[in-house]
Amino acid sequence: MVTTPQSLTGNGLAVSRRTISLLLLIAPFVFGCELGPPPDHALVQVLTGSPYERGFQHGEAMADRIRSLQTTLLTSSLLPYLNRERAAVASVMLAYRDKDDDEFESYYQRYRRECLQEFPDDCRIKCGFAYLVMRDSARSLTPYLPQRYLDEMQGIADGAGLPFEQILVLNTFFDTLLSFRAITAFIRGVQAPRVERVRFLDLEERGDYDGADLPDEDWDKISGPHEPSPHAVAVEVSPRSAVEFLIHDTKLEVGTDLGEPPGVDPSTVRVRVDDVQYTYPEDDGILQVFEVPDDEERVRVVLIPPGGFAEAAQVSLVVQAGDFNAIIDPPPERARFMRDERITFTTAGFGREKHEVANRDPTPDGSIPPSISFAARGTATADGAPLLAHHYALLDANTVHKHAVLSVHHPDEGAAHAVLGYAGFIWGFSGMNEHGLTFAFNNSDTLNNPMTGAFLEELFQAEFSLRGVPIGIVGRELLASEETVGGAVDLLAAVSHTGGWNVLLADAEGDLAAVELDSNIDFEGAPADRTGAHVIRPDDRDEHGEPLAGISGDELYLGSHYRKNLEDIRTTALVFDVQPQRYWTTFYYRSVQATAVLRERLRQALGALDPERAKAILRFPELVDQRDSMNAAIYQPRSGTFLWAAGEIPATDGVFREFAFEPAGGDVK
Amino acid sequence: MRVARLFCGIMLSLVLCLPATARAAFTETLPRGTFLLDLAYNHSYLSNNWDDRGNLAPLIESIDRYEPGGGKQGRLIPNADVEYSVLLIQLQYGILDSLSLAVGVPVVLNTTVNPSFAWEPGDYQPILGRPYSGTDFWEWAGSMGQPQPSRWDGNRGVLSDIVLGFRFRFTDWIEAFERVDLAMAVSVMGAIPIGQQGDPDEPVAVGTTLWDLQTQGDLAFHLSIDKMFTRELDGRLVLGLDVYYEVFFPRTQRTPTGRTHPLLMDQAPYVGRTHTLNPGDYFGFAVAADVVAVRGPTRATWLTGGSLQRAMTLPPLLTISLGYRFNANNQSRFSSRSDLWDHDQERQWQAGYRNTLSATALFSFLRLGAPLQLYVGYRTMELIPGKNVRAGQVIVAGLRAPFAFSL
Repeated sequence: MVTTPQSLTGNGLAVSRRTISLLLLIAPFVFGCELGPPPDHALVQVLTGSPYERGFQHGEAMADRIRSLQTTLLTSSLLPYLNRERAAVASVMLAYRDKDDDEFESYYQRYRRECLQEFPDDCRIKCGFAYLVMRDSARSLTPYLPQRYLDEMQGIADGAGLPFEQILVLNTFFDTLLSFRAITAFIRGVQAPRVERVRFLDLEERGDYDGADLPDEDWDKISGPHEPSPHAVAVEVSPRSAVEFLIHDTKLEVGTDLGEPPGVDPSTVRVRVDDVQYTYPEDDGILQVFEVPDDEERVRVVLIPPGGFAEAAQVSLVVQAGDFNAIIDPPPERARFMRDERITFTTAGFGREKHEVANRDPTPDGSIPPSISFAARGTATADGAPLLAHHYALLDANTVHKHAVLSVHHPDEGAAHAVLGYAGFIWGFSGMNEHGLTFAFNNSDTLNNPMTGAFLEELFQAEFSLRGVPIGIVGRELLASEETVGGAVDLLAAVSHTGGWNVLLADAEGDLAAVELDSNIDFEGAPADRTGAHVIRPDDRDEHGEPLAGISGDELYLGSHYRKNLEDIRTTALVFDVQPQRYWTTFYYRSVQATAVLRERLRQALGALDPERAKAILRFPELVDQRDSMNAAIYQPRSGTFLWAAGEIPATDGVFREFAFEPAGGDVK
Repeated sequence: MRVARLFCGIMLSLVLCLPATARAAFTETLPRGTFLLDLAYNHSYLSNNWDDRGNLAPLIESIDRYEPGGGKQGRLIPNADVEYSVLLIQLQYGILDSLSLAVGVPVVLNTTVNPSFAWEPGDYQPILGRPYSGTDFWEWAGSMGQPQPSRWDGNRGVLSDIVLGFRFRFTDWIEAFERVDLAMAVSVMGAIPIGQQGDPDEPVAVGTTLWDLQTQGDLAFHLSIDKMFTRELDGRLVLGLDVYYEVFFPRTQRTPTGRTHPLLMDQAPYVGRTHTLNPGDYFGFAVAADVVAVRGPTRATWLTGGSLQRAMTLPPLLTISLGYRFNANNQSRFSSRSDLWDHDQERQWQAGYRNTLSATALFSFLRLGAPLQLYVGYRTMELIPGKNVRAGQVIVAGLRAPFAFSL
C-alpha cells in the first residue's frame, strides 16, 4: 500500500494519489529538465597488456579529452603565448630571426616557408615559432625514450585517431616548456635591472640624513654583491635606519634593449615594506632615487620609512625597478623590469641569526605558491608509517583541470603502477607502484639544461633542442622497474634529464629521499666531479647544522627551488653571466616563501601526521595556487593506497578520492 | 580562453518576440472569405540578461584573466547591445467564420551587435611595471592572434523561418458558450526551417532561425479562451487566456573553427565540425485584456454598402490591449564529440522563464470607410524578473488591411 505524506493532505486539501502521479508526470514539462551535473573532470582508466595495447586503450577511451586538451591548452593558449617570445629569443638566437631584409633565410624562416606550402591555412600555430620549438624538441627527445613508451604513444595515437607527432608533442611539451621558459626568463633577466648591493645606515646619530652617498665604513650592514637568499640578509638592524639599494641596469650589445639610453628609470622604482608600497616620485622623501656620478647604468635608491621600522621585528622589503627601454614586441609596450627582489632583515632585539630567519613575505597573499611536496615517517607520522603528499601547480589556462586522468597500469612486464596525469599523457606528476614506491616531482628552474648547453656550444647559431628523458617518463620507468627508494635514486642518477626537477621519493619500508636534478651539461668552470642528481636525506644538514630539507630527521619537504644544488650552473657565454637559479627565476622567492610556510605547518603536525592532517596542510591557503593548481595526492606507501584530488581549481578544493591496488587488478576507486 | 565560451552567449541570445496578433482576443478569426494582410515592423533592444538567481545582469559573465604564472591581469566585463529589426508579413484568410489560416514571413531587416568591454585592473604586473589596462589586455591578446571582437552588422534582408498555422474556434457550435459570452479556440503553428544559423566563426554574429529570435517553437499548440462582456459592458472589454506548448526540433549546427578568432572560437578540432542542438521546448500562458477606448465615430460608407448599422459592427476606432505572458523554457541539450563543451553550452541555455508585459494601441479606420488598421505596441521583459533568459524590449508598429475578392 502506498501512503500519501501528511503534508500533501493537510489543511483539508486532500490531494489524491492520482493527482500526485499526474503532477509527477507533468513535472518535467512544467519545470523543465535542469542542467545536468558537469562531466567528471577527473577520470580513472585501468590499462592492461603490452605498452601498445595500454596506449590504444587510453587513446580510444580518452580521444575526446585528448583532442580537447590539445586544442584548448596548446593550440588556443600555450603555443600562441609562446609565439610572443620569438622576438626576444631571436635577438640572441639568430636561427629564429624573421626579418625580411636578412641576407640569409633563417632556420625559422625556412621552416615557416616550407610549412606554409604544405599547410597554407595554418600559419598561426603549426607554422609558428612555438610549434617549431615543440616539434624539434619532441623529435630530439625521441632517441632518449625507451621503445615501450614510444609504443604506448603510438597506441594512444592509433586509439584516438590522431597523428603520432601530436601525441609525441603532447607528451614532451611540458619538459620543453620549462626549459624554454628558463631560457626566455634568463634572456629577459640579464637585460633588466638588478640589485647589486644593499646597505643599512643607522639614523640615530644622523637625523638629518638626506640620502647622500657615504663611504662604506659609515654603513652598518652591507649585503654586496647582493646574493638572493632564503634567509635574512641582515639582522639586528637599528629600527631607525635608512636602506640603500644599488641597482644596475646592464646595457648589452645584443638582445632587444638596443637603441634606448641605459640605466634605471627612476619613475619605475617601487619598494614594498611588509604590506606598505612606496613608489617614486610619489613618495619622494621616503623613497629617493639618486644618480651615480659618471655611471649612467646605476642608481642609488634610498628608503627612509616614516617612523622607522618596527622594533624587534622581521621586515620584508620587495624591490622592483625598470629601465628606459620601450619594448613593443611582444605588446603591450613596457620597460624591461627586474623580478620582484625580496630582502628580509630583522631589527634590534629580534635575537636570531640570519640563517634562522626565513626570507618570507608577512602578507598572506603576497606570494603565489609553486608546487610543493613533503614526506614523513616514523616519529613524524601518527602511526609511524610513511606518507608522501604532493600538490602540483604550474599551468591551468582554465582548461587543464578538466582533463585529469588517473592512469592505472597493469603491464605485461613490470610492476603495476598508477600515475596522476592528463588525457593523452603517458606520464603523471606523481604516482605509486604496487610495492609502495612513490614518486612526485616539482619543476625547479635551471639553466643547466640542454637548451643552454646548445647555446654554450653554438652561441648565436644555436637552436632549441632538448635532450634527455622527460621527467614524467622517468617517473613511469621508476615505478615500473623499482621497489625501493634506493633503486629509484640510482635510476634518477643514471638518467640524462631534460632540465631541473625536485623529486621526492618514499617507499613501503619508510625510506625517504629528495633528489634535486639538473641536466649536468658541460660548462666552463664546472667541477670535475659534478653530478646532476643531488640527493637529500631526512637527516642531511646544511653548513649551519640545520636540517637541509627536514625538521626532526623523519621528514622531507620540497618546493620549486634547490637547497642542495645551489651551484646548478655558473659560467659565462659571451657577455652573459649564466647564473644559478636563485639569481633569475621568478619561482625562487615564491618557493622560498612556500617552503617556509610548509615547514611551519609541518612542524605543528609532527608526530600526528596522517592523511587528514596532510590534506589540511595541502589545503592551507598560503600553500594553494588558486588559479594554476593542477593536482594533489597523499600517498601511503605501506598500505599501497592513496588519496588524490584533481578536476577542480584549485585541485585541493575538491574531494580527495581513494585508490588502492588490488593484487588481481581490480583496483578500488 | 574562457571568453570563447561566453561569447557564444551572444551568438544565440537574441530575444525578439514577434507579435502574435495585435489584439488580445485569442480566439479571433476572420470572417469567411476575408483576407487580412498584416505588416509589422519590430525593433528589439537587448543588453541585459536575467541570470540563474533572477538578477538583471550583463549578457555575458565577467571574466577574470590571469597572466600565466604572473598574477591576475584583471577582470574583463563584456557586454553587448543588440538591436534587431524585423518585418513580419502575415497573411490570414478566413476559410470559415470560425477557421482561419495564416502564413507569417519574418524578414530580418538588420541586426547590430555592439560589444563593449569594461575592465577592472588586477594585480600589479612586475613584467609590465603596472597593472594591465584594458588596452594592455587587448594588445596582449592581439599578440596571440586574437582581435578584440568588434561591432557586427548583418542579416540584411534575410528570411527567418516561415510560419504556417490555423486557428479554429470550436465553440461556435456550442450554444452554451455563446450564452455566457465565452469562446474557445485551438491554434497550431509550424515552422518551415529556412532561417539561417549565424556565422559560427564570428563571436557576436546571430542567426535568423526562430531559435535565434527566441520567438516561438518549431511546432506550437495553443488553447485559448476569451470572455466577452457584450451585455454587461457594452462589449468594451474582452479578457483572454492562452495556454501553449511549443516544440523545438533538434538541429545540426556548424561549430566555430577559429578562422577569424583563433583563441576564442577554435572549437571544431575537438567538438567536431558540426554538433546537434536540441533547444528546450517552450510552454506557458498569456492573459490579455482588450479595452475599447474609443468606439466611434461611425459612418455609413462604401465599405458597408451605405449601411450605418453594418458599420456599427466593425471594430472600434481605438482599442487598448494589455497583456502578460509567462514563458518557460526547458533545458537545452547539446551533443558533440566533447562532453565538456556540451555542458558549457548547456550552462548558457539553462531552463528558465521570462515574464513579458505588453501594451498595444490599435487604431481601426474601418468605421470611417478606410480598410486600414494601424497599431503600435511595446513589449518588455525587463520589468518582472525572469531566470536564465534575455531581458529584451520590443517596439512594434504595423498596419493591417482586410480585403476580400468578390466574384
